[in-house]
Amino acid sequence: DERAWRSIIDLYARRIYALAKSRLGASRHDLAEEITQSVFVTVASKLGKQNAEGVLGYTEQGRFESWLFRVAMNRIRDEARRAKRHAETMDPETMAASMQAPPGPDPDTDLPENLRSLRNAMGQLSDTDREIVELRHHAGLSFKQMAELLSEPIGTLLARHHRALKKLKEIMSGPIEPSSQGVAI
Amino acid sequence: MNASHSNYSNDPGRSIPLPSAMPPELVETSRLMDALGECDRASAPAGLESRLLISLSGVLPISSSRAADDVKEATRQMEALGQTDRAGASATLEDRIFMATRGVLVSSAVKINVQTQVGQRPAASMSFFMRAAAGLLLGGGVIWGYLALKPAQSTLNPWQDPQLAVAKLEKEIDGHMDQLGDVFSLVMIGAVTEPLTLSTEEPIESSDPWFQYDFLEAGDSI
Repeated sequence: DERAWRSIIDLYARRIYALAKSRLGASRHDLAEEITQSVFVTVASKLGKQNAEGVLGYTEQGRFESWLFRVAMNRIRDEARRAKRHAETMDPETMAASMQAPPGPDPDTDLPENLRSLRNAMGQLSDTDREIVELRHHAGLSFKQMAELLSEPIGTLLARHHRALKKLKEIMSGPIEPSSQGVAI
Repeated sequence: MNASHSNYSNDPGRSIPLPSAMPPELVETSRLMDALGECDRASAPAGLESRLLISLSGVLPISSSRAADDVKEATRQMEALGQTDRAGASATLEDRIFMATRGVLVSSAVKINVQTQVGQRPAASMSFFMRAAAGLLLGGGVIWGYLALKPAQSTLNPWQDPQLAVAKLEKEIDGHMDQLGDVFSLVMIGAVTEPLTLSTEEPIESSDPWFQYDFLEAGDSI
């Protein structure tokens, strides 16, 4: 049913887009859209396959969102690793040239100052803390869904989330440090 | 910017409930994170959902798909342009490309698989028939030599017991035929390079005499 599929896209596309954009950099909106499309292509492809019981399509078992965002997280992590390898293998001359190039326009120009500070602070979080925060606030997952997605106890995720928020608050309260808005591996 | 709880769906009535155990000093930070997430979701380009639906129309397990009206005309024009470009290629394009690249094939000792169009039954390779003929000649020659050099073992006098002589002779002939069949089978196993069945691939050895003859002689005239 095409209308049902459209409903799924309307419900999840922007959440996945926001997740990819936050993880890969606010300026990488084209890449975020590519990843979003890649995720839905994967989901659509798997819907057309038979499962182990020979049933065509997807059999709802109450974990569709976890599965969908697991696909999204794998895509985003793959892209982040690829970008990091590309940066590591770049020769020094090219690296120096790219660093001397004038910086592009700030993608967060329209954001209020407090949210821009928050974005900068997120760049100083560890990967695991940042992932928890983005899954919670960008993707809008519940802790139960995150526990299924990350295969971790809810209590662990709660503690990690609280720790991340506390660190963000400390960073925003302290002196502003230059941080990367891009990939954090 | 209103830092209240943001929505993570298009339904404005839904919001993300905070865990009851969240310390009060972190509530404000959590609200800011909600706001940032809402901004990032809202920053998705316009038409994202429509583009996703169009791009997935060929992948979805549904019987029909409707492209947006605004891209139907552009799609039709692109298809027409593609057909025009393909038809506009030179008539001798394939021949010129082959001439430019066959030198690489001939000089290479690597087996090359040539993709034929699906549905077309490839002609049996001349090399196969040559090998089969060579196998028959070899097998026949071996059998002839064996029979010629083999001393006569039968001591039966056919005039004294004709039926017994015939039976023994038939048994000897069967044995020779079995030996010929074994030799033939060994030769055929080594000779077959591809099955004579409907196949889409036809291996061609670049060092194959037929291959060289067919094109080396006629190459200058193309």
